[in-house]
Amino acid sequence: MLEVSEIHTYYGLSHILFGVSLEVSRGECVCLLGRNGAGKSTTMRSIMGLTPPKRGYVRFQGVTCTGEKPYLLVRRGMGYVPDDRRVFADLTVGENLEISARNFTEGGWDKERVYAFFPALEKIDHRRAGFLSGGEQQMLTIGRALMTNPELLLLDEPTEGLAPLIVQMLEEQIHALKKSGLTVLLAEQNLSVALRLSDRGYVIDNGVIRYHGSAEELQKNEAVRRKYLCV
Amino acid sequence: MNRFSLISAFLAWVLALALCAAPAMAAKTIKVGIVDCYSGPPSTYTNDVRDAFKLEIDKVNAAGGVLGRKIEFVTRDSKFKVDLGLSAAKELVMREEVDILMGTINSALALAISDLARKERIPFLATFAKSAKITGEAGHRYVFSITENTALAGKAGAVGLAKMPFVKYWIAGDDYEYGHAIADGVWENLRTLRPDVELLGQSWWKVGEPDFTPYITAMLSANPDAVIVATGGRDCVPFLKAAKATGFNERVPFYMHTATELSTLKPLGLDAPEGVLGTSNYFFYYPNSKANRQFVKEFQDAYGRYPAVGAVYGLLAAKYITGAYQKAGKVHTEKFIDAMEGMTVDSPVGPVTMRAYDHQAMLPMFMGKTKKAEGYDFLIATDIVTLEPEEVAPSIEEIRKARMK
Amino acid sequence: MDFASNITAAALFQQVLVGLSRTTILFIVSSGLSLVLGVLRIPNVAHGSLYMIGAFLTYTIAAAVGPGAFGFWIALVLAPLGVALLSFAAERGLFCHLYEREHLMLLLFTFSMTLVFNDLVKLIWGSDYRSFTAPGFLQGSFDVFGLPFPRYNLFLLLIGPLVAFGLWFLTNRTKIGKIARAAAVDREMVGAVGINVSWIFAATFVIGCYLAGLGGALVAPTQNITQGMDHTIIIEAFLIVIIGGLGNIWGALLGALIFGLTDSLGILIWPQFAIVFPYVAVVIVLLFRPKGLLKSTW
Repeated sequence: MLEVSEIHTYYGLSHILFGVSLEVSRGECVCLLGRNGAGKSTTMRSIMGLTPPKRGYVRFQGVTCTGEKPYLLVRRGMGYVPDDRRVFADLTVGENLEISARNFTEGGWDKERVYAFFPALEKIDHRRAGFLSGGEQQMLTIGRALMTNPELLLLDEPTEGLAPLIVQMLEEQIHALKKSGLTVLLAEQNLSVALRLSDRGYVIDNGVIRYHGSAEELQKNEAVRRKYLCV
Repeated sequence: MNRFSLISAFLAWVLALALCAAPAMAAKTIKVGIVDCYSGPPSTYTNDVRDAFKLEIDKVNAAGGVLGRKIEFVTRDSKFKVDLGLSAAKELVMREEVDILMGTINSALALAISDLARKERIPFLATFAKSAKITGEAGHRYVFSITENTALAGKAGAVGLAKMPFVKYWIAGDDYEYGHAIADGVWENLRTLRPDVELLGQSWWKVGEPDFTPYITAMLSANPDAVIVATGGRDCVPFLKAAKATGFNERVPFYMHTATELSTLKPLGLDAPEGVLGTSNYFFYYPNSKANRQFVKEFQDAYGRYPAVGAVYGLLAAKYITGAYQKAGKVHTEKFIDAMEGMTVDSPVGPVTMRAYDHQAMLPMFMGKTKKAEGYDFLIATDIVTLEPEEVAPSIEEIRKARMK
Repeated sequence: MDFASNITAAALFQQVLVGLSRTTILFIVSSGLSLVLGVLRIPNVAHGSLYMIGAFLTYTIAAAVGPGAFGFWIALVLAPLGVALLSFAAERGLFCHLYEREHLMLLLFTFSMTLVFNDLVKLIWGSDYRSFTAPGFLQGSFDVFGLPFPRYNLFLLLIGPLVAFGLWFLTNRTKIGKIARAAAVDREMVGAVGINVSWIFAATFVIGCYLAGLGGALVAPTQNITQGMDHTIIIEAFLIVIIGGLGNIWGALLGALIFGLTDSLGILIWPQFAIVFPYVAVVIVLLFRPKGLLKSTW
């Protein structure tokens, strides 16, 4: 479904990604592992068109869409959950979800279904998003992306800075999403959560993909884990 | 030398002579250079000056000109900018070699041109510029004023108001030199004529103030007997509009210099406030003399509109110029100036004398009250009182004192 | 230095009313400026020119339709729409390509638009000033505790809250308003949920400029319609937006209140130096709250 080929991305003059390539097939959950600053978020932003790559291409559902405007990619079926959550602080929880509604078909995601999925959100429907706790904001951000009815969900470090109990809850929910048929590309520092959720994984370090394998292989390969993931 | 070169040399010599003679022949006109603002709102006033001037000059030229010469004039647009106007005046003197300079509605520019005229020894006739400095402290031999100024207007206003029963006054106006000059002119003279008058307070707003309502309401709550409104050309019309809108003119009598002038009342049409006291140098309907009627008719036939006060200034300029040259007997600056001093010409407002001491044309002032009238789609002045020039002009003693400073 | 001795309760009350009607115009214009500043991050110096064009258009439309109340109402409706149309053309043709630029560039660009609009006005209407009067039933004044209160000012007093309510409704209860508020803070994320921010920006810009035109249309009967009216209003509007908080519409209301009331009360209390009062108020506010009274979106 998603094919990223040899992309090079820059922030201004800083060369951040060096020929990053990865693939995600329909229904899979693939993780992108790496330390802080390794290039995970940049890769996500490159795919999403927020920081378009200077070279290389991104192909989604067979169509080359490198560096297309993010809103067009959303309409194609990409959903984005940024690593800094970025809820619309001035709007309420309900409004955050309402304005993101898109591509709704029978059986798809609407506010009702999101609230069924995240019951805690329904309780705070009227609260300003800026006043939510970290966990609530993360649920909202995921819910907001789901409202766009994506086929591929780009999840950037969803567990960062959250309490273990919340992380556990999120893990269950992401697992449920995967079960429902959603394709997921998950960037994570939390190795155990990532490996439990994913089928395959890529390891990125200093903007270069260093390793690629199945979840089991990654689990067993201590050398790689020690060198690039600091476990 | 062969024949060919002899003939060509002869032809060249004839040609050269002809070329030299041509400008000499062209110089046989009297040239007047007018610098004024012909763009934007001031042009309503200045167009009248030029048009009346042209009308009279055409008449004179048709009758053979002055001393056997035609009078021609050129105009330059100062766009109300002093630097533009001054360089235009310099160009008129250097390049066009004008005999007389004339202009302008912008007082600062008029003073600058007056200074230039003094240096270049060219007579300058000030039209419309209202600064009293022109013939007052900055006056000199080469400048003449054929228009009113703030001292004249101030005194006229005071003379008119002194005859009224008002005691408690409020002063309001545009916060700049002209506004304060008019206000001071009126108030100082009023106090001399009526020592019993009281000043309750003053309000000053910025030039171009968009909203007079809060000022008007504040003034009304002070409950004066009358208000002296010292607005400059730009703000007269908007203030009168606000006065009508708030009903100010119906609650408190107020005096505004030029409130009764055609240029002020015409844009407001029938929406102008009634009962406003104003002073003016000219009305096309008063005095209803033969001279005035004829002047109005000629102007209307030529230009399709009623003449406003600027037309009188233009006419006077033309009459003074032609009269003085005629009297002098030759086109000579110093003799021209001597002839001008003390000269009287006829005008639609009666005979006007050019006072020799300060070169100020002694124009009468008319004080009146605005009122609707049959047959006009704008208000006119009624209850008109004529103030003779001697009543309103600053005395020679006052001029002498001002120039000694 | 003389303080006026005429400060009675009636006079104060009347000046407050007059000040409030001035607040209406200031609020309408400033809120438009604040909207554009907050959502698009464009300091639109040409906002004043659009206000001026609104006034000129009102004059022309009313003159074309004919005298009387009908012309006035038609002009009041059409003139701001005309300004909105003009701003839409400017936005689509020019501004939308500049959103990513720095503020200084945008400031310079809108400033150049001011010059263009100024010349446009001169071309179409000439440099004479125009006078436009309100229809009969809005002229004159009625007494409030013995002092006159112009009818037209009462009209403005009624319109003010209407516009404020309309704006509140637009920004808080409509989808487009909510998206605009989100885009004001995080335009990137709004794109990342599939919304084409470009059209939101266009809509916000047009609405902001419509408000400028509406302000000009409403002010037309009260003053000379002339070039130069854009200069005065844009300075006041920017000051109001700054003391209110950039991008905050309620801040614009608060700022307009402060400005309008200090102006009219100053005229009553110290008429010789009344010009200074609102600016002194601005300085005082900024000394204590340099970022503005209410929260800004920047």
